[in-house]
Amino acid sequence: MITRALLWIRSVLFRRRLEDEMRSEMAQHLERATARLEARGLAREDARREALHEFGRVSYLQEEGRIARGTHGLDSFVSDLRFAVRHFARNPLSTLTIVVVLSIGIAINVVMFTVVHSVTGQPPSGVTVSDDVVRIRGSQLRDGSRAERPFSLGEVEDYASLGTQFAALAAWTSQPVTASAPGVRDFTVTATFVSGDYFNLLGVQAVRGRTIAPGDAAPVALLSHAAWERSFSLDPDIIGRTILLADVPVTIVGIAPVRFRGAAWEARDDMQLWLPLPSRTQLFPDIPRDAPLFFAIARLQPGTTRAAADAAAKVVAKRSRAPKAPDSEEGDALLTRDPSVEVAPLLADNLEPGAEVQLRDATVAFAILGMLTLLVTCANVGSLQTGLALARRRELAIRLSLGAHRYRVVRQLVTESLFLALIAAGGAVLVTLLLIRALLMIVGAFSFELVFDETAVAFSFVMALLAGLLFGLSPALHATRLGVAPALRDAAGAVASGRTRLQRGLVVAQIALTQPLAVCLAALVVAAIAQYRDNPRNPNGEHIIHLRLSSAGAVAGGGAMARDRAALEKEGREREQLVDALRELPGVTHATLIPDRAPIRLEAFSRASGGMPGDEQGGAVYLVGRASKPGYLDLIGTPVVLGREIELADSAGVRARTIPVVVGEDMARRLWGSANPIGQRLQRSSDSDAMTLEVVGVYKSQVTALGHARNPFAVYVPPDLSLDSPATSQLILLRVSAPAESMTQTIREVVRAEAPRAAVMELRTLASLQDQERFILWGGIALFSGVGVVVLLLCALGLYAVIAFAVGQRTSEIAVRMAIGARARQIVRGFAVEGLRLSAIGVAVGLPISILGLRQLLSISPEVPDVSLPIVIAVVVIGVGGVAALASWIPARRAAAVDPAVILRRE
Amino acid sequence: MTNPNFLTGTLELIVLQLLRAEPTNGYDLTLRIQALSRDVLNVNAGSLYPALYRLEQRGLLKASWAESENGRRTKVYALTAAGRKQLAEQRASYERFSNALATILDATP
Repeated sequence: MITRALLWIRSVLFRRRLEDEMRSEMAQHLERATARLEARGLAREDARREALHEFGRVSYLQEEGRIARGTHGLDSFVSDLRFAVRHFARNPLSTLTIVVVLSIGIAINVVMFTVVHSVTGQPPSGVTVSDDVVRIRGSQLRDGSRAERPFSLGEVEDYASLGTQFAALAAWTSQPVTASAPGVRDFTVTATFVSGDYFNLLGVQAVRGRTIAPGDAAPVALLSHAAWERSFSLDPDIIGRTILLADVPVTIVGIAPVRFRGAAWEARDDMQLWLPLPSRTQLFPDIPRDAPLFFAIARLQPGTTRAAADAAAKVVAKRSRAPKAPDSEEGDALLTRDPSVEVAPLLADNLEPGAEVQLRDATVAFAILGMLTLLVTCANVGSLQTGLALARRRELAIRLSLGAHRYRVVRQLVTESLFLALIAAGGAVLVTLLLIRALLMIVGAFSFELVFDETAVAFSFVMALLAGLLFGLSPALHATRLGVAPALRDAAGAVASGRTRLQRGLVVAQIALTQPLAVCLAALVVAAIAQYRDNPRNPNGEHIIHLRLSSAGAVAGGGAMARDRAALEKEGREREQLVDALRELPGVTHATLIPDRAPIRLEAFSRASGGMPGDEQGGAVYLVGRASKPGYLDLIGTPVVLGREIELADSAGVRARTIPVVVGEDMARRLWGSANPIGQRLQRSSDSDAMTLEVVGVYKSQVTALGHARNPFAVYVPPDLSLDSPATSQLILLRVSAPAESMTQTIREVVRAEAPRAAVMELRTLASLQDQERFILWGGIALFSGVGVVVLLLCALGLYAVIAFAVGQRTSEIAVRMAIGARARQIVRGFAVEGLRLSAIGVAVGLPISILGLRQLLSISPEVPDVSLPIVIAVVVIGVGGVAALASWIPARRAAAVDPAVILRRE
Repeated sequence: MTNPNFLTGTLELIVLQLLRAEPTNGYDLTLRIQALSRDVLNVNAGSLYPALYRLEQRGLLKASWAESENGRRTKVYALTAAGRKQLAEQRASYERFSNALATILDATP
């Protein structure tokens, strides 16, 4: 068997040499036969003729020889391919269109596949684990659904004691921290404290030195490759160097592999290091031991299953000593309710409870979307192909009439389609790589690694083959189904009426489905443009510095649950001292500490006296509350023109539910006209949540800060109004008169001296932060518009192909009509109306879906302005209609260019 | 000269048998068959060469270029080990068949 396969491969590879050998072998045979006959007394000429006669037809014999060697199929395939290339070279424009459309259609599928494959099929980046390594993740009930919840060390020990289920267990917790070393600029790293088996379970080896081992207790660290590269310029003598973390000397013992980012995504910028768990108390003595800050992975015992481990862990969770929330000022939002646990596979991004179900749903949604995209693409390309095949029906008919088997002609056409599809697969890989780059540029980084590997490439080629068969087979069957005679007589009408119906249906479906997509994209573009407009740069941005500091014991997503009041107050005092020290720096004119919280929504307030002016919707105003402190408004360049700013004593008002606010000039004028706004009140009188706002000041104009867009209904409130979103970091704003760049190192030094355990999470000017924000908005606008344009183009192409096909089919009918006096305009109108009719049906069918989609979009993204929604729909309907009109008018016009004399002569 | 109908099935057997003696080229094979069958069997090139290629493709023959006595390079075919085995099998089965046939022909008057 193997010998035969090798022999076949040989005969394929050395086809040309074997052909030559065969030819010379046969020539020799003929020559010797001729010589033999000559020797018998025949003349040379006659001998040669006789020998040839004996021998038989040489070319036939050669073909027999090829069949014997099994390579004749390859020969005809090569000639099919050659024919296909020649055919496409004659129709470059159609070919290019087909390839581009296919590339896009396949690329959309490949991008979705890549995302799904990366999220559901991959362990965390740089980790090689077998199936028996699992994630143990905690959850709790919050706002009616299960939310992520880290474990305390005690709980981790409980799970580790499940010896029948888990062979080994590792836990870790992360904390940002400032690192310094001689000869290196201070940098912020995410320090992950890991228990001994962490690296064993993840199967990660250090690329230099060693990882953290089970016996480690002293402060030693494994440095991430990115940190080694960026902060130490790949210093070859890094092992054994000592760095200071929160003023504690730590020895570097190893470098992690390039792609390794930990068992969960800890740091966006990959600046990371890993330390042994016991060293945590040395670096952060204030964090209580039983603070729920830990995540865990485990290796299953041989013979047990994930389901069994899950059940056992759930039993442990039931009687767990999940700690009661500490006496926290954040209120009961932090109390643990109904703690539970899940044993899940270790994937790149599945820390959330029930992540696998969400991933499965997303996969199904992606698969459906991908199939639809492919179907629409194939419908479009199929239409174009049919058009091409129609133009070739004479050629095909002649081949058939000369005796070519139908299978042979169909194979020729399918070979052509597959050939195009394979080129498109190459294009799709390119488009995918571009799209992934664009995505990464806009998003910055994903919580998982986007893996575009050989599986994804293979997927794109499989998709291409599928598409090639899908769009190639049907036109091929249709084009060859016809009897030879009618095709030669050019009876085009008979070609494919069934196909037309299918095609039209697909075009209608395409318009119906792409329209909602276009509407949602348009809404997103409008929202992004509005956001861009409302976020102009702060004129003083170059002189405002954002200094964001970590808060010890805070877990991203988990909130500040680990701190008690004493620790919080201590940290607060420390930060105030830091702000005082910063204010003393030469060149600093203002400094203020703002809790880093999202703006607070203050909904449905109305005037305490005299109702509301008629133009406010529902008789109420919807305000956005922004935390402010003394000096803050001056700092960002929005001075108070009337009354006073927010003062420290205003916190008392928050507890009394009468909150002092500073409002904008515009809002004051709208609500109270020329009356003095100071002392005016707004109130919300709902029973459950009564609250009164009292105007104490008016600020001058709209100046933006980070996350604070221009908004006439923005009011400044005391910082402790926010009740439910615990801060995980603090923001110190500085106004400097010197160039900001020259200040950063000094600022870092002051932070290190005053608050050694606080990590600098961000130290940038407002201008650069706003530029970045605006860049992301631009990226969004470009991406959404780009996708929208492509979607519309695809739609147009489908319609164009259908109308062009119809025109091509009915050429003789048009010729007859024109010969008996129809005017060109009537003919054009006939086809254009047909196109518009199809798009009108599509738009009508799609409109309810559009509205539904828009509602959905509104509910998940409040930035989308709902005022202009009817306008958006109108614009898209007109847009889709316009594109449809154009797409049907262009081929329709060609119908009128038909010369009746030429066509009728051909009949 | 016409060939009896059974030649088609037995050409492979004949070729293998003749090549067992010594490696030979295609033309000499046709002459050899003609001579050994005393002009009863005349194999034309149209059957011989495809048969040779098929046998080669199945790994029963091995072709190589060799110098002939008049100093020209010709393609000669030789039996491989697999070919030898195949020949033994085909020969045994042919003998069984021809004995059976002979028995039938003798038994009935």
